[in-house]
Amino acid sequence: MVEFIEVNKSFGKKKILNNVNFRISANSINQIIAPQSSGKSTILKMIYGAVKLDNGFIRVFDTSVSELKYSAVIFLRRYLGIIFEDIRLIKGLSVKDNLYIITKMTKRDLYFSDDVIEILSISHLLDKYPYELSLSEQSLVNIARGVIFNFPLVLADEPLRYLSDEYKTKVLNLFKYLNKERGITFLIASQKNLDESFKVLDVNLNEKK
Amino acid sequence: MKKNSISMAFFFVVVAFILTMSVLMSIFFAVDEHVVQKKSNIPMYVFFNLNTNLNIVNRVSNDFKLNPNVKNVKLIDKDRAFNDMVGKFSINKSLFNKNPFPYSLEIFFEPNATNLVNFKNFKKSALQRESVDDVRFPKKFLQDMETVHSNVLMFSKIIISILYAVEFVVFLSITTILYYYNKEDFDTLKFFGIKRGKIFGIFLRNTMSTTVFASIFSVFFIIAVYFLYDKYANIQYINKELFKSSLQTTFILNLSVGFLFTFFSSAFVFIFKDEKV
Repeated sequence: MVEFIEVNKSFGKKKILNNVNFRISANSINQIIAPQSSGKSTILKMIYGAVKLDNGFIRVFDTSVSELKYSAVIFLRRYLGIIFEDIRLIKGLSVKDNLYIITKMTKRDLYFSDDVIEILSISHLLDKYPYELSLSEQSLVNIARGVIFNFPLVLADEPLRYLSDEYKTKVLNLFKYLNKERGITFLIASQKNLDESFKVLDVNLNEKK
Repeated sequence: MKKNSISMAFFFVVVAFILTMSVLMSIFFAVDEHVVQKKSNIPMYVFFNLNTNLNIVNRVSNDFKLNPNVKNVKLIDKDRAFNDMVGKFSINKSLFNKNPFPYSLEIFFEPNATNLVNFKNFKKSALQRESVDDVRFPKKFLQDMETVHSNVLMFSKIIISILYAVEFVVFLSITTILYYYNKEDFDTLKFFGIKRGKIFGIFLRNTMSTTVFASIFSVFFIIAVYFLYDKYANIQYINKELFKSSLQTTFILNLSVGFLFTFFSSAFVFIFKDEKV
């Protein structure tokens, strides 16, 4: 589903990724475990085309991301669920509109998983605005937005960062449920191992810094 | 989308723009009209030969009225002029064995024709008539009025041009701030596969809707200004009716300019600031 072959990336003189290789198969939950600022987010951003690679090859689904034009990158993103590290809820929209904006703006009739709302217990937040929510509530909405339309691949950047232990467990169970019941593939960037059953990708980011 | 404080600031910028420019332009317009009216009240006097009879004078007068530049021609009867003079200075009429006054015409020109060049041309052609003895007009006053008029026009144009330029920069600045306030949201939408064209649509709708609200507010505000001005205020040299009618015109003009400025500033900001992330 996703493949990195000898991918390199530098920001100025700072080398972030040095010959990164890994492969993600469909219907799996994968983790990249590395300390902060080691390049985990860069890998996820490369998958959805927000960061260009210097050289190497990145395949997502059956396309080479590095060779795509911007309009094609935009099209590719419509099949990705993204859980942002910095949450990124649209500030002028209610929670409900934040969840629906993806289908509304792209005019797609996607299946809306009500069970995600129930599992994360956020139904009481739907009519609120992001500024009315606590950080953990905002984080839950961010997670819900990433998985609610059952996109085949979900990229989750530190999804548990702002959550209490109780909610961390809920979210991990949700990921397992969606993977098992709907075959959704996850790539999670995290600073520690979130679950023993998740596959840990060997990208050795911290060795290459 | 909920309105934020920057949209509110933009709202007041648009309101301030529409109102100040409309009022200022209507004041300039009314002052200009006042000067033009004063200028067009400058007469030209055509004096006939002493032996010219009334029929010839009337014929010449009718000829002058056919000239498109001529607004009005007034005949000054020589008997009335004589009687007025002897009455005014208490002179014994019997001292004169005949009326020393000729027939004369007082001619007023259209505002755009009340200028030195036209007066000189008209004088030249009038003097070619055998019956006309002399043509006089207050040359110095006409020159002064022309200078005042051109200065008023130039001053108005310069001030309005500078203000429009400054206002456009203000529009650009505030739309830039508004764009950066929403940039993270716009980038997030791009990450969900939403095209930049649609995002520009959202941005434009955001700025345009603010301009629409500002315009509606300005309409109510200008009605209040009308009411207050009508009741309590009076600006010297400015005709109330003229001020009000010009305010309507300049208000509609600046309302349209406000929408144009909003559109162009939004487009410029989006074209130059938005990134393909």
